Amino acid sequence: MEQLSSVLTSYPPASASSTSHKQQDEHTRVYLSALAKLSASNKRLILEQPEAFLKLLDPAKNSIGYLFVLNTIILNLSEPRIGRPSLLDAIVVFLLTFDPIQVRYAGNYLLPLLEAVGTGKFFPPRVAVEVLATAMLRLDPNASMFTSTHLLLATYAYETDCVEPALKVLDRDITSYPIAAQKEQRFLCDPELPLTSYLSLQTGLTAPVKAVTVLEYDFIRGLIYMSRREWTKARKALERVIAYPTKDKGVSKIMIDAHKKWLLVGLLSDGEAPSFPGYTSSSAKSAYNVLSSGYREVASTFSTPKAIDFVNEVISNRPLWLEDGNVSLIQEVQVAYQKWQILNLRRIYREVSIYKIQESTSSGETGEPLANPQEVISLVQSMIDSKALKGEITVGQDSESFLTFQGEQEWSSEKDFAREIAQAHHNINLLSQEYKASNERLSGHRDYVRFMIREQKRADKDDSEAGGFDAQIEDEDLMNDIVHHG
Amino acid sequence: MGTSSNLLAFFSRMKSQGAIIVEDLPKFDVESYISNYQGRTRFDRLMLIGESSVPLCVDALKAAVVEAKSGRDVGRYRGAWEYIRVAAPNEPEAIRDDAWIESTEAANKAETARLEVELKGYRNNLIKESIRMGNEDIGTHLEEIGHLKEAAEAYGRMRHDVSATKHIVDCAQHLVSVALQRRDWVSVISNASKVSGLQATELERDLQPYLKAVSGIGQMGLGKYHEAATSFLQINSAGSLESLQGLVTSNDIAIYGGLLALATMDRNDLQTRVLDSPTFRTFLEHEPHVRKAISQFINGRYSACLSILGALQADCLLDLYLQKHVATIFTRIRRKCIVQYFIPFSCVTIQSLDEAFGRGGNSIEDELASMIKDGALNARIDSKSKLLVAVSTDPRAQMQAKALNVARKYEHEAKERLRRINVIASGLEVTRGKRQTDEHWLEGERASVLTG
Repeated sequence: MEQLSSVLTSYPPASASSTSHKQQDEHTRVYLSALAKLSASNKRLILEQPEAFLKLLDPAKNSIGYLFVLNTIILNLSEPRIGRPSLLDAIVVFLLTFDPIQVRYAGNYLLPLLEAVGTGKFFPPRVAVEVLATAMLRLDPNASMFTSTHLLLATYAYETDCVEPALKVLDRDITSYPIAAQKEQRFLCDPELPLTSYLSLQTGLTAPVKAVTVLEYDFIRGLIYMSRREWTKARKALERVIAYPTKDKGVSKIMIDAHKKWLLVGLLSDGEAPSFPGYTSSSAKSAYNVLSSGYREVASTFSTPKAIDFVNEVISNRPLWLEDGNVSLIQEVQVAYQKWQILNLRRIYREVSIYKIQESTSSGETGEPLANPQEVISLVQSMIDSKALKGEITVGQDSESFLTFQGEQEWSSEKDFAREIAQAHHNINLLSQEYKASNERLSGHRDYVRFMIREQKRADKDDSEAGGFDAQIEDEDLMNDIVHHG
Repeated sequence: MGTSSNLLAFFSRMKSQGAIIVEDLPKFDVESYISNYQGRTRFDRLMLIGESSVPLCVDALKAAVVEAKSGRDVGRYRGAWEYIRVAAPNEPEAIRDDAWIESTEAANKAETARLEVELKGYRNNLIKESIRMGNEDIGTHLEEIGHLKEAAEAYGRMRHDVSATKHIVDCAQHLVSVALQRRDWVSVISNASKVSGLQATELERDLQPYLKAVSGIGQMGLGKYHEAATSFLQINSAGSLESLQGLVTSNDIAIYGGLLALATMDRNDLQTRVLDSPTFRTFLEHEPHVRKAISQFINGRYSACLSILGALQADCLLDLYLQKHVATIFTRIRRKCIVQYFIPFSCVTIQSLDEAFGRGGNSIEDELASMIKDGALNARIDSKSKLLVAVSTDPRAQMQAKALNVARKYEHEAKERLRRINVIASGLEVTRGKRQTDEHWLEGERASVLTG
């Protein structure tokens, strides 16, 4: 027992803060191998008095040791000597306070823990999602690097309908992905180390990631935003799926499904059929055109005032919605049809009578105008209340009601505008740093170097060949050559 | 059956075939109108009047039957007879002249055969000029008997054996003539431009009016009104207008050019390029109404301009080339008048617009709404105070909105591109042969969608 505790507490060394990265790295590796060498009887000791050992260690200072103990307990849950509440407390405390640099060395202990949390083994969904998302942000404060845990989080949050706490991760823009073997000269404990060097397969902080994993993640994000009725975000998430890079004319089934939903969600968010981002691959586009025909027809009739055409398209393609599981989404689109017709009136009117709205717009569910002005007023009022429409209902002379549209400027003062633009400038600056980093990393990539060498060789060859041609022409009959080419 | 019920039956049939029906009495009578034209266009014009004009229908159809019988085109005779049979069964022209049909058909057949044998002979002799003339003869003959497609092919074959600039021009003119009858506007324009590219100065001077007129007609047919207006305005009236014979009259050119210019050009251009143009002025002298409408527009008297045009409308609707475009052109002019009327104001009562442009007591509000929707008018309607309010543009706010928009778009796109770089760098692109994983995914997804 004594010996075991001395091994466990031997880290971190007292003078940790003043030592160099090299020494830190060495200490950590020594400690890790000591832990790995612990005999089975030692592990039994831990299992017999789990709480004592957990108390012995401070999760914030010695995250590796604490994680090791936790892991040992969890792996042998069949013989619990620890009350479930104290184990759960220990897990939460650890995940909320661990040292993000130390755990880089202990990925193969951390990942199983995260996966256990993310499959709902320990906590009720709300807590599990919250804890998992927080732990992920501790590992990568910007959450800009994709890991296998992302998909886990999204799937779990979506399935348990417990999305709110996951949003702090899901809302972030992912810009990088785990890369295979990479040479890194710096030490793992270097705080300046780029994400790609530690959130990798080698450290065990992520499981292998495939194209499907990434597609599925963004697809589920789309579904999540759809369930929250955040149509613009949903459209952007699905847009990532449909414009996903492909090669050899490959198109994934997920991309096709995403395209169908993307068309409908685009209608909801912008009131018209969305257009492909410029970088969508042409093979994917042609696949979409063939496979999403019913959806495209609905999308094209959505922005026309002929409600009856729209309704007919919706009804005639009903088997399609059923087959694709998009029935409730199409219902949303039907409800939104008239709302967008009313919204579009703001391009024509400053004030428009309710009677005129009733006359010139029709319901997307029945294809008929609304029965009486009261229904129109309540529809318009609901749009104003939900902030979909900026305006107010006023009563004019002869007690006729009018809808007054208001301006749509997003900012009110110069100061607001300055802040907005400064924010945009800041974001772009951050991005350019990321670009630089990616550029540097890729410049050292084997394939790129190989390509450069080949290009260089070809350039050399071209030069020498060009010279050779000049030399040849000197020898030949010049007139002959000119006639021949002319 | 009475005459009027026959006519009614005839026009309801025409309407169902998509013809435009004109009930007003035009300002001309059939005989004097058609005497201005020569050649095959006479029949086409008569038929069009017969189809469209209620008051002139019978006169025109009778003239069309006579016109058809004076030629050798049996198809035309049959068409005209079909019409008159329904519209005026009691007229002597409504009795089918079978003897004429038979004899003409036989004669046509014999003539075709004769010309083909002749051409064969020329071919065997390998004399280029004879082959070209043989093809020309066949083409002319086929055109006369109404086989337009075959005629175009024969004329097209002429091109292989051309040996002088004149020949190229002849060939192109034949092709243009056939294409005009077939309403093949693209080929009208392309053949006309082939001639303009020849750079034979003398020929070009003589042909300039012809070339510009046919290009104008072609462009108008394709709906390119501004180009068409430019073509008509360029017609040089100083030289001889002989080449226009049989195609269009000076009056037609004045109307086409004037209306199209009014629909597509701004006030300044109308003054300098139409009213002050020394060449186009001669044409406008034939149609003082058009001239007056344009000058009223320039002087800002929009309702006067529109009422002159309203009086012209019936005549325009009976024109062979203009008919289909009258509605569009007149709407454009009307819209332009409304826009021009509104420009100096920031806010106008709808009542005053009704007074200036109202039609038969209908309020102009719906028309304004559709104009704003199409982007023709930059204003908003205020139905409560019955006002049309100009959209006050705040350039500063616009600039700011644009700047923010650009920044956001740039950020989004840069991010997406960075993502893509990294996806590819990590070797995560979708490739073919991932089917298995996909299907597995699909099943899982179905289940979750159904439950979720």
